[in-house]
Amino acid sequence: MKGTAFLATAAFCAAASGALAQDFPDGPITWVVNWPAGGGQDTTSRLVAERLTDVLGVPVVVENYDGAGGLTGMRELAGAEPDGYTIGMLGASSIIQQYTTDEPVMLDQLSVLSFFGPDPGALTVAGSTDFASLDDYLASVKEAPGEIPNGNDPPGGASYISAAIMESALGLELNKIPYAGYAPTVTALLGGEVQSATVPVPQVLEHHAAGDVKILGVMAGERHFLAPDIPTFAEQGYDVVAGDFRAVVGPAGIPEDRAAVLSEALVAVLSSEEFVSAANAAGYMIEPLGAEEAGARIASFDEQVYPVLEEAGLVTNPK
Amino acid sequence: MIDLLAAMLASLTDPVLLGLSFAGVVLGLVFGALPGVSSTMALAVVLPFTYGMETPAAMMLMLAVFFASVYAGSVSAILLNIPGTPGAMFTLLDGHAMARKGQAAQAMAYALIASILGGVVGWVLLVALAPVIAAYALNFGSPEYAAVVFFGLALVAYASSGDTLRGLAAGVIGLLVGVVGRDKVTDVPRFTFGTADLQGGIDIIPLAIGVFGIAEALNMLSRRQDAATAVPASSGPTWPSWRALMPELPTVLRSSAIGTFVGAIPAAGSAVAVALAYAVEKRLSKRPETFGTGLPRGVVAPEAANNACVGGALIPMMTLGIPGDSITAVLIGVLLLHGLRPGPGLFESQPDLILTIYAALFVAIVLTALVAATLGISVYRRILAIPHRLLLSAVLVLCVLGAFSVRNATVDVWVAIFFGGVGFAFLRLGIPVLPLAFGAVLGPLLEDNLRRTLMIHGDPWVFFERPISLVLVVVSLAVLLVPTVTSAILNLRRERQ
Amino acid sequence: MSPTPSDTEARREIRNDLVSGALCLALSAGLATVHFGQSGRLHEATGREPGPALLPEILLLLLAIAGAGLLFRGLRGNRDAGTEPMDMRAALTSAAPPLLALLLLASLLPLRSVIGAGLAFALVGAGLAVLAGRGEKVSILRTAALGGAIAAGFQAVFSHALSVPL
Repeated sequence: MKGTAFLATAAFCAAASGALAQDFPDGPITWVVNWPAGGGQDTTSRLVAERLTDVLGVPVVVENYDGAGGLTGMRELAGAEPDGYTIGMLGASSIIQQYTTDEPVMLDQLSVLSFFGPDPGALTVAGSTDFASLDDYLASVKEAPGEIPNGNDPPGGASYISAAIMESALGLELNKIPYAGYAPTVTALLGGEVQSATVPVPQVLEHHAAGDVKILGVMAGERHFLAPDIPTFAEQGYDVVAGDFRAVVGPAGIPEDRAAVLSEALVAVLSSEEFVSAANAAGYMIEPLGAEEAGARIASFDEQVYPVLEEAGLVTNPK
Repeated sequence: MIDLLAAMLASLTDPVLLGLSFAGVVLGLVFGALPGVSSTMALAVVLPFTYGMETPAAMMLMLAVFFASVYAGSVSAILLNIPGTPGAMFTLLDGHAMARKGQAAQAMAYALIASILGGVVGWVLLVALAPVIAAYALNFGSPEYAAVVFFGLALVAYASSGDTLRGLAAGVIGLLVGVVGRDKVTDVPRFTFGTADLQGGIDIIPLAIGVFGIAEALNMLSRRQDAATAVPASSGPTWPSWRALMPELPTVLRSSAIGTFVGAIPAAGSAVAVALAYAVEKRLSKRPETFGTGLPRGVVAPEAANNACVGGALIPMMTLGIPGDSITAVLIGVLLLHGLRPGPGLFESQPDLILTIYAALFVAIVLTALVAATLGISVYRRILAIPHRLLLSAVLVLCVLGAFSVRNATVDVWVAIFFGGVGFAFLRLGIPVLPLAFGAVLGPLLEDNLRRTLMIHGDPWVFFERPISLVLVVVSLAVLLVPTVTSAILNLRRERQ
Repeated sequence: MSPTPSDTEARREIRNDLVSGALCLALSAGLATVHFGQSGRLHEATGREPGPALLPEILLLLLAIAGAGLLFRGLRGNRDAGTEPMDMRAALTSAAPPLLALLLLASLLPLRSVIGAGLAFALVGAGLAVLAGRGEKVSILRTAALGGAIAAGFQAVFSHALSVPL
């Protein structure tokens, strides 16, 4: 496994150095993670950074920032010298924060290098409830608007937005209960304090398999690779696509040739079989896209989420 | 049971695993002793080395770093009066007071003994009762959580000695500090003064570094240099006698139980555990006013609690796949990087790994005890031999470095410096600092859980309808009211006579 | 109040009550201005009751009560103890070194962006060591050099061994 990855890497290096006869990069690259060690953003970053080191031939050092809901790290990233030696991971929450915080980091302060993959939301109900299907659940919510407690992030977080997108697409009203992250949300779902939760599939997969909770639908265009037996919302007749995503970005103004080197190296890492199987095993969906397509994906999320934020009354920094 | 013993024997006889555990313990002891380097950060530093390892080897190394760094957090608290980790926040109250009395080595010995015993109790509860405690943690919803925090605040209110008005002022300021930032329920900013830096709230560690570490160093600076202000070198035997140790055992057991249970509740963390353990011991003590003056019990309670938290935090991780705190989040990250998905299925699919993790924690506890007892304490003690002026300068510089390192955020440096000034003013004005720290730790938890409870259940009667919260609320009210009522009755009788 | 402390002790307590009472009231009033001056969603009952504005209001009220209590107790004590002027000068002179130390610490971050982290820590460490060693019979240069070296050493450990970006 390692051997083939190494060979692939070596081959890529040879090709890359031939095609781009220049000396970038010739020093360590800093990879900014805007969340503390151990979270999804950190795990995915380390998965990529470790292999990016092999491809680029320079150390890629992960630096964790924490604070202001991820904004501290994003500011560090956006404020860094745009020389290609500082890059980092971008998540959906940073797109949302453009409109909900003071002194935000705007998308145009960043240059997108590649897409990592989506992390679609899902609707999961507690084992203590008797919702057998998505139809059942939606019918009960409609019967008692604002009564069914749903566990999610604090307003502006990814799973809150998933719930809000579902609400606005289907004309529902949930009692959205905020928890500080996925772990307490899943605990509340297991304990039956909330009847449903809108966290991504990997967070609840094991509990679904054990029969403690039931995933009713995935909010994506296609089924989740970890749970191929669970239908999407669309398959059940509801047009809901929501969830988190990840992309690799740097500060705006990275010279084009350097951005191209990084972008190509990233796509090479993200497309390698060895990486995909490691990332899949850790529960992450990979969709390697180059800079342009990644930019388009992010822009479409941006357009989708803004009206939802507006409807929820969260916009303090209008477009 | 026999499987577990076999696994422990296997890891104790495997030179590679034992060597990794030893290396982890030494790294943990060094990193943990540096202020601001939390266990999470120590683990993040070691993390890249685990990429190429087999899963058992990786867990061996990580758990050794984890446990040793939790113990070592007490070192900078006792010697330098800097709370480097949330778990060491209350250790410094009596620990540093002992150091000032020339009992630094004794304080560290008490901390080590309490840490090891707490670690063992947490480990035993993890191995023996993990599923039971996990089920209990699941039943611990927002109402129970709010009630237990209320219980903690009630204990503090009763137990804080000294002036009521000043204590109230300090506690309320602490609660106000906890309000700063975006409200968790509605995402509305409060007291952020228009800056993005304060939107995430004021982190508890820079705050504690300010009010305890910087403030105390400033206080020493303000005096003319004489023998009385410097921390004297340790004298007397390092290890306490059995006779001195025996009365502390109930404290160890109570605090360890608190540590394990609080550690098992996701997102509670060791700051809450040590706050509760310290408050309980102070409340139970016949002489609560002696706490903070260099009482070994004031070191034993938080140290047993924070090390018991290690086993406690592993309980939801092992049984439910849910990280109990940021440290176990890194451990789960390691398992994920190795392609393992922790969760309820882990016990069936990976029984060997479970046993390895149990064994790894046990080996880490034993090695921490051995290394810290033989080498650590004597090495750490030398710190006090540094001339006073250099030590003070180093402490202040370390406070800044430590505050920054927690989240790599410059705002935390300003928070630490600002609250250093605040803490110094408190010292000068005779306002107790402890209620401020308690308020800042417990306040946000109380508010979030109380409001969440009301969002879910609608009315406050739910607190009296659920058994756990009913007991906690009644006991809290008793703690608050009984002393007042009894003293009022006594006064009335005295007047009649 | 307390049982027969020395006269200066009692006077200091009265002064402390007055100062901390006034500070609490000022803090409460200042924060109340910020709180009630904030526009937007803060004062709506977003979600269910109680809204995000309630707890700060309770706390500000409690702080004002504590401040008023302290001030009242101080004033009453002041009346009982007579109107002798209090010696504020000693309190202020002894507060000078800590203030200087705070300023030194506060200069760290701005200095860092001008002359680099290592040098900034060395300078501040040296300054703090000299400040702490004032009045001792030791060479100032030696103290400064050692203090600076220790501070720069710690900075190096944190930034290189622990990759803390400071």
